[in-house]
Amino acid sequence: MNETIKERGIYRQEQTRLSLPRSPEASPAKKGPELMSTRVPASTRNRVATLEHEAPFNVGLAKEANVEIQYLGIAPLPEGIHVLSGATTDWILGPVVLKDADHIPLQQRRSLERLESSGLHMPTLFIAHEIPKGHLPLVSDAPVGSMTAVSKVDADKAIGQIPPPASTIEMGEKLSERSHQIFSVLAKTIPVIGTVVSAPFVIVGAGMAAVLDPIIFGVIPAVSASPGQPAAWYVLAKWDW
Amino acid sequence: MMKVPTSNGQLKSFGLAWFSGAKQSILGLCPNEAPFFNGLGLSVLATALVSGVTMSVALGYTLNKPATHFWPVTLAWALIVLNMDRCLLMLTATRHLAQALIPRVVISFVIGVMIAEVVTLWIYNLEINSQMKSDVQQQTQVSTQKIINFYNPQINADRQTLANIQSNESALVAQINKDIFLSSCESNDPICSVTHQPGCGTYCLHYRQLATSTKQELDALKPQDAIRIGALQSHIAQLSQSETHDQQVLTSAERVGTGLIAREGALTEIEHAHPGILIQVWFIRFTLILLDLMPLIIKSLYLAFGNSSYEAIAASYRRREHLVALNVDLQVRIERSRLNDQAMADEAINRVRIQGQRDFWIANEEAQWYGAPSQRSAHHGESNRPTEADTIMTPNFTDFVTSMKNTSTHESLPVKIPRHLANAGWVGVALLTTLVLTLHLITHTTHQYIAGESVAMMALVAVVALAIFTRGFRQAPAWAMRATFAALLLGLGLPVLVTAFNL
Repeated sequence: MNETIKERGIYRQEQTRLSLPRSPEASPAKKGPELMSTRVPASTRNRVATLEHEAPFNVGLAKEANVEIQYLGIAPLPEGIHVLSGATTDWILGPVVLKDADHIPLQQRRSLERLESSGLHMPTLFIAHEIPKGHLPLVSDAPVGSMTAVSKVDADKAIGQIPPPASTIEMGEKLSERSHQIFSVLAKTIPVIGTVVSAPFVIVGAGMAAVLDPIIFGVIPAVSASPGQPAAWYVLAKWDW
Repeated sequence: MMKVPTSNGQLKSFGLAWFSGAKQSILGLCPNEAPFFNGLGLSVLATALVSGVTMSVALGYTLNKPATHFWPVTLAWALIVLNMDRCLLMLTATRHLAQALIPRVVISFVIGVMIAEVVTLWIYNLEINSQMKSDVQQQTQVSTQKIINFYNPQINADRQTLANIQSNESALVAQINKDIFLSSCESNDPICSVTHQPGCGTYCLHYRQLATSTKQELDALKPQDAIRIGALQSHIAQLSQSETHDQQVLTSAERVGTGLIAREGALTEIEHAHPGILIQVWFIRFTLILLDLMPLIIKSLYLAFGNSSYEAIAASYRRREHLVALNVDLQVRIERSRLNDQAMADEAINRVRIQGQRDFWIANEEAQWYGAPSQRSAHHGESNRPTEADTIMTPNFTDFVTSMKNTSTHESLPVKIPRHLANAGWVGVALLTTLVLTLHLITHTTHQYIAGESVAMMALVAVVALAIFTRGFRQAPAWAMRATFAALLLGLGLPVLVTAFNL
């Protein structure tokens, strides 16, 4: 029977890779085969199988709430905060804290609220922050796909502050341009305003464009939320800052 | 009245502190704060009383009745102000107090200006009366002359016509008398007779005939003259009556001219003549407004520069009261989580049960076909469950979403305002300020209402509030950026609109 289950998908290597755009190449769900290659109790394996069976149900539940979530597969829970080395960017993966709930974009907030109202139960949450390659010297030479433990201080430093909303910056630039146009028209008739217009046009938000994405993972542990234990991983929300 | 011993054994009274919104139970824990809050309470009480009294003085002056008649208004207004100030002083957090001060300042400004206007009139009563007396005398002279010039020529003309009629009749009567005399003379007296012969001869008959003819003429004229005389006398009486009435109206108009509007006009004339009085009038207005805001200013200064034990204890008490809400909230979360887990567990059990039955049947089939026992039984009884200490601690989904609901969205984060947009905001403020000052100057100079002045004032207040909110047009969320741009459009468009309305 276990062989049958294996064939059916517990060890689906294809499924365990994240297929999201700009997603971490080395996802937590990639660890599934390694997990199952070790000797685990039959009860855990049965529980894992149940989680696998529940995945379409959970995805369907989310769909009923008009939210698309993605089931990534089974992977062990990482201990602490880790950096996943990618080809172009790195990802910092760690357990969610309540502070991570601050300033989530409106669309994702609505989605998460609908998901929560739908009855979807995620006992554990993880969050992944995309950071530029080489931002953490610790993993600058790490091979692609490897996971390296990192301290919270270093992780916070690498993630940095929440960037300002790009849409507001863009709107500010547009309004600034319109103001500039109005001043230009007025400058022909009013010399005082002309002096204001003569200042160079500065795009304040130009440097903000290269902000990377966070992803919130919903995680259902098979047995308990302990490091190394298998768990079902879902992508609940992702967005561009 | 609660009394609590202080550290040096003195008894502190908290009676007046109630008016400052202070809780006596908290003051009992920090009795050294009592003098301040008693003083603050006294200030609230004094402000309310002054506000009430000035309101009744203003009403009395406006309605031309003694201020003492309005004691219920004094009492009610004092209670309203007292309650409002007490409620505002209860807001202990500095930031909240600053926000709460804004509507209070607006209310105080409006009421202050209203009351200050009347109080100013009251203060400059003598000067205003003198000015009004002079104005009224001048106006009366002009108006009386106008009335005289209107009625007197008509009355005189009527009287002249009447005299002419009466004179004509008198002349006819004289002619009749003369003719009768001459006729009698010819008939009876040879000395005065032309013919010097007695008896009524030719001359006698001639004069008699003339007298008769003139009398007939007089008799014919008299009824007509009587009608004309009656009409003329009636017209004269009517004109005289109208003249008297107009004089009375003028006198009553003078009385009406002593009302609030006339006094306001007189004050404006005095202000024009003596600019120093204008400064004094504004000084009085600001004094009353500041007096009205005194308790809140004292509390703000105390919060800004003092290290209040009372506020610290009050904040702790508030946090403790919040724990009750947190407790209820947590219980709700626990119950919700329990129900959620129960539902999920039931579903999982169902699935496992069905899956188990299916596995059992498959295993039986496999045993029947291959004769080998199911591998499932080989793992029965295995367990390597981790301890609770190893558990990864993260908020569950429900807690996360609940926490998320209490925070603002990413879109509401303020961003740096681009330079030209910031300039636009400042230009908007400058244009609106110029507009308001210009309109005020025009109103003050011409004493004519200009449509749109209040709109311009409100727009200026809103734009200044926006400038404060955005810290001088430096940082703003999306809506404030739009509002900043709108400030420029308002500054450019409003002068045109105001001009169009008034033209």
